[in-house]
Amino acid sequence: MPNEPQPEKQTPRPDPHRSSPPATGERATIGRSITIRGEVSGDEDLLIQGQVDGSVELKEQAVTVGREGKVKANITARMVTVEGEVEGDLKADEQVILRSSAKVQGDITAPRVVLEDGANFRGGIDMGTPSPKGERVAQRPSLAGDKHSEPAQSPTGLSGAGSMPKKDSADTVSKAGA
Amino acid sequence: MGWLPRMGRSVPRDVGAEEAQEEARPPLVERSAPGIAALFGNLQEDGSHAVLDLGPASESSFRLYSRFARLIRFAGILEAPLRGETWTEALRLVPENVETPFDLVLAWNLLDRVPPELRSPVVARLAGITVQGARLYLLVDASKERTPQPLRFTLSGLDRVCQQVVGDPYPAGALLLPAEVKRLLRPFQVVQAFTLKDGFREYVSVRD
Repeated sequence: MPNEPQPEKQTPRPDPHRSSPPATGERATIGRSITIRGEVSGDEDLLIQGQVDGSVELKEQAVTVGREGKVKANITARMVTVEGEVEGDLKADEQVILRSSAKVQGDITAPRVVLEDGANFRGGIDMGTPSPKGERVAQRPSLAGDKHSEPAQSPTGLSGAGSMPKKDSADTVSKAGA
Repeated sequence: MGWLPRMGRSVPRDVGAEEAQEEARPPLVERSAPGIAALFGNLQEDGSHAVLDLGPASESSFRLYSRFARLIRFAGILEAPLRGETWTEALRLVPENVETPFDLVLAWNLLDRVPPELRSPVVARLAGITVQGARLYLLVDASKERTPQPLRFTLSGLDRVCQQVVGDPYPAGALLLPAEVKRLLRPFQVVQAFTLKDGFREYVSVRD
């Protein structure tokens, strides 16, 4: 039966109640004339060229604050790139990049942080705990050459001339031992 | 200020996103910094340290700090007046409480810049967020120039500093003599000091 009608092919329709990650490369944009006050969340990458006041939470996605973007919000994402202005904390599972045009005031938490020449940043950068080999000591700095256990020595081992790092003395007139 | 640029040496481009803007700005001047070398001397590059830089962020400083620390804060206090902030407002950028206290502090020329009545309070605040044994680097203008220009400092190496004029000259207070610096820095004890050719002095101190 060559001309018998075939059953209509079922094409998957998006379920409005279920948000599935879009295909790679898909990215939503908040345009430069758009202002959003409130919480921005979702499952696709986001480019912000407009203004956002509130919070941005796209934990599995990449968020880019474009050159025109102005964000007064904490941003949580897999990856955050800033080319515009952000007043708020940036938290990324993978990486935060501040481009040379970025102006950021807030704290950054990410295992990798890139700060380009010219980026205007004020705040803290926490790249997480180092490897167990070089474990961070919070209560006491692990200063090599530290002589705290030897009372006759300077607390830091810095006072003796022998502990001086080798230096270029071109600009140095004298060393005043303190 | 008699800092002489080192000809032929590559200086990191830390300011100015646009080339044109960059060309219009005063040049970066690089000098050796024995105090910086002392500050980082013998430290392990294991990420175990926590750095507080009271100056502005820069790519080159961040790159160097990240060899030692996973926790780095750029407070950006020294440029506060350029942003129209008062010193009192600016000093609020030094946190009062921190989860992880710092063990390396770069205060640059803070004591020269802040009003005399704020010097002790800011040192006390720094003491409150640092661990015992923390190292603090301070630069004092001991030259005869009493209308110095505000400078922006960045590291270009572990014994080199770049500086750049970032504003108009300001009237400096009375010259800070070494004994006064030592008194103001308490509970940080000065363990090394260096006098540079142009009259600047670098101090490295350690918190009791």
